[in-house]
Amino acid sequence: MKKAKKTIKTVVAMALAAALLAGCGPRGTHSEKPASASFFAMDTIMEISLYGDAELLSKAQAKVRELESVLSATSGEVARINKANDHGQRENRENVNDVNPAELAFGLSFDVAGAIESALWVNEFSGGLFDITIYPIMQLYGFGTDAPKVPSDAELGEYLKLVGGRHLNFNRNFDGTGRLLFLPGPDLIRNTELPGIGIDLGGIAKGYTGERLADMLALEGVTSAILNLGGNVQAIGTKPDGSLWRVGVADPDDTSKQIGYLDVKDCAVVTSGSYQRFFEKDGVRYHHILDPRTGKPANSGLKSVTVIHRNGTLCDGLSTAFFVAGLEKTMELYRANTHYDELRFGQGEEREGRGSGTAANPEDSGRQRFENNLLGGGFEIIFVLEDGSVKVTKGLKDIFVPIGVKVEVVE
Amino acid sequence: MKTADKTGKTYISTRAWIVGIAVFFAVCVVGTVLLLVQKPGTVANVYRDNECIYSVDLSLVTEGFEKTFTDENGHSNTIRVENGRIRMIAADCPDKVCVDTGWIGNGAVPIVCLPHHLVIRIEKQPQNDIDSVAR
Repeated sequence: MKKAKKTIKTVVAMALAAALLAGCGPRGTHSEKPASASFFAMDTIMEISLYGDAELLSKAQAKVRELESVLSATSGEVARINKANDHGQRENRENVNDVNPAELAFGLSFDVAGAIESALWVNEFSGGLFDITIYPIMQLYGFGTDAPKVPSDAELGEYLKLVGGRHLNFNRNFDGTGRLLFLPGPDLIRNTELPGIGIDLGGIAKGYTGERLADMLALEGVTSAILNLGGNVQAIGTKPDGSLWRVGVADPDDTSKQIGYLDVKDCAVVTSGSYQRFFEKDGVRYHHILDPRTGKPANSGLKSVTVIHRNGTLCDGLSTAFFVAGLEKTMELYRANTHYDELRFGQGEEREGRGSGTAANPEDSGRQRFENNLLGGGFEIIFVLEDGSVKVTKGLKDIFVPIGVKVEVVE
Repeated sequence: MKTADKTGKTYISTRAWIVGIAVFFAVCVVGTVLLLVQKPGTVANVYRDNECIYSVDLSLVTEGFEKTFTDENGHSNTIRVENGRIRMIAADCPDKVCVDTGWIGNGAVPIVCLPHHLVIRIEKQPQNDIDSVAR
């Protein structure tokens, strides 16, 4: 009896050993695997991969939730401001004097103030082609709601009176908080047909979130991470072995495929496209990137535009602005803001000082020009035109690697 | 196992050893076959709110099949699985973005159903070793 038990034990032990041996499947542990998390926030999916303390993932996720709650146009701080302003203006119309719209200003938290500051910068840079005061018109269309609708031209004409940087007075305080005063002026105040002025940070919220996460992770000592916030890519440092992050650019016609990729470090790669969010009515597709000049979905001959820039927030705003601007106007802005041959940062020292693994290779002049332009505050762009052709700015000449498409460098 | 009488003792012991070794080899053989057949990383995982609710090895699928996932609110998503690829074929979500995504067969892009918090991800290094996709 005793012996039988023993033999059974032996059999079980051997079987276990065999199972263990066989259990080492192909998905076995890789020593260099990043800690990753993905979750839903801001109406999209967010993915974070970092090399370092896995507990930072939950910290990052908490940060995203926090930013989501303040930046959203439908809930939280921005929503409260929009509602209060609308309400304040209406109160006045009904001659209730407890709110004076002339001094109806709102205190802003650090993050809302930061996002608005960047948004206003992009607004000015693009000549008004990116505008957060598009909020009332976004509401009119109802993107993302169950019942989107197409406003009439007359309706749009009226609502466009509410849109424009001139309607905002913004101040940022030394501690990073801010103050926002809406400027409806006497005409809009008396207009009982229209709602109040409002702001929609949707065009910049994901980019701002990416940038804040990158800041947070860098402060925690992370030197290697990649974030994908609903398609907005933010690269932090390089991979642990010093190699660059490989970022693909989605094919606007089939987002499961890529038109190409590029290798980057310490920058954001953001795509704006008409395929990202839209509804269809009577066979016409209405996408979510509205032209602030017309209030209609931008129709500039582009399917998508991808911007590479060191600042994630500006990158997000710029991609939207460029999608509205179209190829020609964007290239004007590009030519006026590139810094190829300016070696503002002494190359060798700066590169060493940053401690990144990609030492300047004298033969790699394309890479050097690309990095110099980004370090100088410039940006690079990948356009996918309505006819499917792909054009890139000249800094991407040796950087962007196409997959199955022909790429033209646009001067 | 049989209790041992005096003559049976060695018999049982030997038989146990034979069974043991046979089991060992059988598990080894099965393991090896599994290792060889399963091409690295063609597993598709279905996640709801970041919790994996279903997994399938696409390389082992010989005959395509369909499967429906229903959440606690009664919302449903139906996937179709074929050899090496997977797609959403039906969903009662308002935007149908997940259905429009079509087939996926590599890990570069997941299928996402935002309204139902459902993600289908292929656990495989995407082509060209792309780390992330701007979209």
